[in-house]
Amino acid sequence: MSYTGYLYLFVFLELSYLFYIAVPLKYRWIELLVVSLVFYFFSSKWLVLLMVLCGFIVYFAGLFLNKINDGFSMARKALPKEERKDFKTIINWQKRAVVTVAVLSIFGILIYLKYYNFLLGSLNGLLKPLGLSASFKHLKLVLPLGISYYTLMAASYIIDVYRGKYRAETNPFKIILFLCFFPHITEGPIGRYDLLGPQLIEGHRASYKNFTYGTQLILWGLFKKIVIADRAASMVSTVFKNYTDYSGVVVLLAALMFTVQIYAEFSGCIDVVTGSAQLFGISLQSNFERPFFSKSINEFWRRWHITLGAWLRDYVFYAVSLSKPFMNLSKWAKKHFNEYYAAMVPALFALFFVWFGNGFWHGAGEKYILYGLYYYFIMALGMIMEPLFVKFFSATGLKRDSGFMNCLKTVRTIVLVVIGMLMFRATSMKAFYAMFGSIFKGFSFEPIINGAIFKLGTDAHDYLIIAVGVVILLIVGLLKERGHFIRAEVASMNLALRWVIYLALILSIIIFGAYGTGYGQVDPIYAQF
Amino acid sequence: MEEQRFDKKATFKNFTKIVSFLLILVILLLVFSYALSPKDNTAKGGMMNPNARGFYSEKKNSIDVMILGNSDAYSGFSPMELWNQYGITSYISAEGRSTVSDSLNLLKEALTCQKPKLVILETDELFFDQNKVDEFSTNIAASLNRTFSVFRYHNRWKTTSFAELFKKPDYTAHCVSKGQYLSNNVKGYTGKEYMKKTSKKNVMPLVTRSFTAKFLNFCKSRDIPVLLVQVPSKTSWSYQKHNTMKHFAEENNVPFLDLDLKRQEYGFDWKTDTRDGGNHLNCRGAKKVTLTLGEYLINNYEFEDHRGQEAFQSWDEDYKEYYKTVYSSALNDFK
Amino acid sequence: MEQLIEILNSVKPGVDFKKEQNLIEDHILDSLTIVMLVAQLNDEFDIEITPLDIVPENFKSAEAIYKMIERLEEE
Repeated sequence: MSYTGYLYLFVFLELSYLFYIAVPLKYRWIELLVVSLVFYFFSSKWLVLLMVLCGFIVYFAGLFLNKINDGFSMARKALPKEERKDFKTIINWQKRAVVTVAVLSIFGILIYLKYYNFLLGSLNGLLKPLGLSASFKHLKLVLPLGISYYTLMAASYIIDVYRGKYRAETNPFKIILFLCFFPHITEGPIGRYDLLGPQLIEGHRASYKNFTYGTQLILWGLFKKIVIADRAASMVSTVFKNYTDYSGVVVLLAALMFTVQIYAEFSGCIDVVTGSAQLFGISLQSNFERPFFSKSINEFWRRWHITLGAWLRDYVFYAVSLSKPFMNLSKWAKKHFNEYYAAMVPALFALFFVWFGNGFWHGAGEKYILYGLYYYFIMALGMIMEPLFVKFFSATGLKRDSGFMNCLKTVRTIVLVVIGMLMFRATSMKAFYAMFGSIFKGFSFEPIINGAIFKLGTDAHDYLIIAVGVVILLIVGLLKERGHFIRAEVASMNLALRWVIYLALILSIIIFGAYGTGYGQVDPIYAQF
Repeated sequence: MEEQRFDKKATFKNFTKIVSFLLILVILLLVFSYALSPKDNTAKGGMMNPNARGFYSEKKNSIDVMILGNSDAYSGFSPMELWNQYGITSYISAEGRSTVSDSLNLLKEALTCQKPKLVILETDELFFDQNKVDEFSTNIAASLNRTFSVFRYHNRWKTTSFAELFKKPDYTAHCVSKGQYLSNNVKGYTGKEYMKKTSKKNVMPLVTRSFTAKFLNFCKSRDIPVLLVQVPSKTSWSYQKHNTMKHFAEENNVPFLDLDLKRQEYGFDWKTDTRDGGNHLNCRGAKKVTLTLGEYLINNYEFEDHRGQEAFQSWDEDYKEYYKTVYSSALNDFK
Repeated sequence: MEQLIEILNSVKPGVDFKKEQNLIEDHILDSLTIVMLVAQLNDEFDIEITPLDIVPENFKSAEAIYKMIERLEEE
């Protein structure tokens, strides 16, 4: 069920909300669980059981960890001091075994369903030159809704319990609700149990404020998705599908349009989702913070798809970089390089895993892996060059933080991101190389002047709407950068002004939205990951 | 206590606010629906499937048979042949990918100016292959389009002019083919026979089922008999669907004429009678289907033969033009 | 404390770490610099900082970091 479709917006959401406020406070979380399961069942039928299974795996693992911890603290007191340390080591091994089994089994399901064909395909490719013709059959595997998201959430839960951040939950259904809560199941944000769990379980009273803020956010998200993103979609798909027919400014425009599309769409859907959750008084973690104002790639990824970045940071980056082998590597490096590089070594290695994971998470294919490594390369280069930059700026006396430099940095970041997006959307790496190269071959503004760009499924009217939409996004973004909380400010305007804004927003979605006859339904890009 | 009463008052106030907001929104939607809906019933004027609404331009109460359905219907029947052979006046009101609730809506529109003695519902649209979620969504979209045409015609902001926005609509453009989509293309179907006898049944989608019941009830309340007809369609029909439909028809006490099953009886030929390899019929196929249907109609119903009547002279003229279009084109070998 | 400030400056030059109180929220320290910092701290103070210790409260200021080090040294 699409978050921007009629069924969700006009039926499902209303019914879920009405049932929610009709049930006594204490049982409201059960209502959420039921409607979330219905939502899930609508999309994936009995594959819902895989999600439930995942919930039970981490539930039992959590209980097991609770038991080990309790046993440990009881037994510890009885032991003489010198034996305590050994005992702790044994306990830690037990805990590690439990969490490893749990994490491997939930990721096993994900990897089997999502990557089986890709991995076996690669294996076939490797075996062939060796003369082994063990061709594996491709399986037609159907992915359960949101498996890439709920697996990460389940893993974060069990790893947090293992790390001792909080005690395991004793009610499996609360974990399942956390995993399949209908607003975030399809496209995230990837929630954390300590932040979201208590909110989900606690019954929230209907509040006018939540209603207003939630509805505002849903409308704003719809505007981004239906008016801007879906309108850009047809031109983008024409050019990327028949990439050999286009070059120069057309390809460049397609890359820009795709960047606009994916941002408007993904952040728009997240707004709808976050707004939906807010209706129920639940606040999801923010997933976007105006990423296109970033001054570096590092910062971009702190502000784009934030919860994925945060997940990889907490459970891959820190786990790898702070592990003993890498810390020892750092010590070793200290003897051979200067301090800066020595300290950098663990981070540099750990980052590789982060970006490999980021690419791999997006999809089974070399394109996505190289997409991740593209960003790794940029970041690693930045880190290695940093001392040089410092020297350069102190030698020339240029100010690194002047307004002009910051502007330049933002532009540089956007250029790098657009190149990344071109790779992300290209049908294959071969297509990416061809498209990227074709931008520079015979670049001219001829296609704009002779109107060729208006014949790609997006006419002049459409470009106008997209342009106006982008300007609105920019203005809203700038206001937010300056610390405005626009929804609250609109809500506190006088009634007439406020209503004019709301009505204008609703009507512009209905009139300028790219939906209905003549527009194919555009499936959200991030729902497929 | 005091606080609670205050709370109640606030809730009431918020409630009235929401209701009045929605009211204003509805009014605005109606205004925009009026402004953006096409001002005439031609494709140039922005009307979608203009042929489907050509009944507006026919003489009041002159249509005896209303034919409803989806693309199978507007390709598979030929009102002009029916007129030429039997003197029965008919009109096809069909849209591509239409649903039963769309058809019911069109029928209601038609009844504002016509008084048909029979309604024919083409049965392909009762099996439109969709999952439940899409089925719900399609129906919600259909009712929104119906209530506020701005949902359907919102895109006309691109082509309309300011002066046109508040012009009064005039839906009287004439449709010579009476709703039929005229095509002489031939792209035959040469594959296997697909109507293999079986006792298996297909499932009729739940939502469609209830809308079909609604459709039948509506006709009953207006005292208009309904005839369910299936035209040949390789891509959409099967023996299983035939069984389901037959069962449904018996249950609801409406006649069902499966012209796909009876293909051989009236000389239908998949090699020459389809325009797209077995999905839709061309004019030749439509003629064969229509003549068979006409025979069934005069055997089972009583229709006045309007040929030669002064009030229906325009139908003869339309037939002449239809004849010219269809029979004089490159494929004039069929008769 | 002096030793800590020195390390901080080696990881991120040009910041007055004695004054800054919002190292995380102001994005002075990001995940990369934190790992670089932790690598040095582990080595210099002979402690083991685990992922669990990496929360904003422990890294928001030089003082907070120092407190964390003291706590870990005791364990």
